[in-house]
Amino acid sequence: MVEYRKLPGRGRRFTSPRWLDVMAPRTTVWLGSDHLLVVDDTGYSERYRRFPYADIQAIVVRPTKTYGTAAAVLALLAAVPLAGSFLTGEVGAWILRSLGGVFLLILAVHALRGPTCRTTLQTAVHVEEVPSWKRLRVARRGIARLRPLLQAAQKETVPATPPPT
Amino acid sequence: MTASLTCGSCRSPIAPERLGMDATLACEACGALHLGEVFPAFHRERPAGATGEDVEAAGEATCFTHSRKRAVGACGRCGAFVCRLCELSIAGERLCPRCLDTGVAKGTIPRLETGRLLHGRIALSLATLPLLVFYFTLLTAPAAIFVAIRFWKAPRSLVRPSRAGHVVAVVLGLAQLVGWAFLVSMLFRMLTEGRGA
Repeated sequence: MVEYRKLPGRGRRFTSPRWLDVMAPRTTVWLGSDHLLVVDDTGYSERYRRFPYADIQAIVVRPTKTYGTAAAVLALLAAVPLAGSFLTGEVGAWILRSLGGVFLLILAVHALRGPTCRTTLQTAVHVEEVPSWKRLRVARRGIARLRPLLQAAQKETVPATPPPT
Repeated sequence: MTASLTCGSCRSPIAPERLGMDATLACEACGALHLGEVFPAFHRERPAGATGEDVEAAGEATCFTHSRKRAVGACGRCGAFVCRLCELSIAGERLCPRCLDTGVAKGTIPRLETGRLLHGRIALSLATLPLLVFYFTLLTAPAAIFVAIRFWKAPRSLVRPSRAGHVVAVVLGLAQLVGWAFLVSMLFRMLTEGRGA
């Protein structure tokens, strides 16, 4: 049996508008002996996609605006009840402060996880999105672990430098 | 034909030689920022697809599927002769297209397996979720034990090949059945004592 080692990160592969897709599978990325395994886990089944190290041409990471947008929305959701707590009675104020506190906590976690991104993995025949690498920091860590394996697999088969044009 | 990189936002071409993980590269068309890494395979020429060679002399071995094409070998499973076009190499094994289809359908080529059912989790769900409405456990507890035992040897997850779900499902299922047995015996005792009085 092939042994796999997990790469950092997990994410959901949304196929329809994400707020509708409650059954979206969880995606994780695993290192195999000679290939990268992308696993979509629906809870009761797993779907596998294999990418031989020798065939991976590029990994492209595109920073997205989700980080700023989500932070702004969370800040607003925290600020409204906190502001409202000054206008109500003692019991209501505590409820609103608790609500605002929950959103502040989520905002803090979001901020600590760092900027968001969209990562794609390119082979000769298609481009695969990697939903588990949706934070820049996680993508960097994943690529750092993957890089030596890709370079070792491709060292002997292809030239290390681009051909002269 | 060599590969090309496109912007993830507008699909315009971006320069692969300027892509790196340390500094962002802006798309010239839409300004979207990109990081990334290009590997040596990016510069590899894509080989032309193989085509079978025509038979030139009478009596030459021919492909099982293409009678006018010269055979280059035999399928490692069924022994049928294959031409360059039909020759498929999977994990070091030479296969013909029919054996490949059969192998994928029956799951006998692990390398090409595209999915698995997680019987352990199904059994565990049968053993735990119905606890919310206890009456269902009379049916689901035996079902959980059945699934856990029936699929004990079935292929498990490729990445988390543990049988913990099976074990927990059997233990919980048995506990629920013991609970039901206790409940029924209590009811029976109450009925018989009531009749005796």
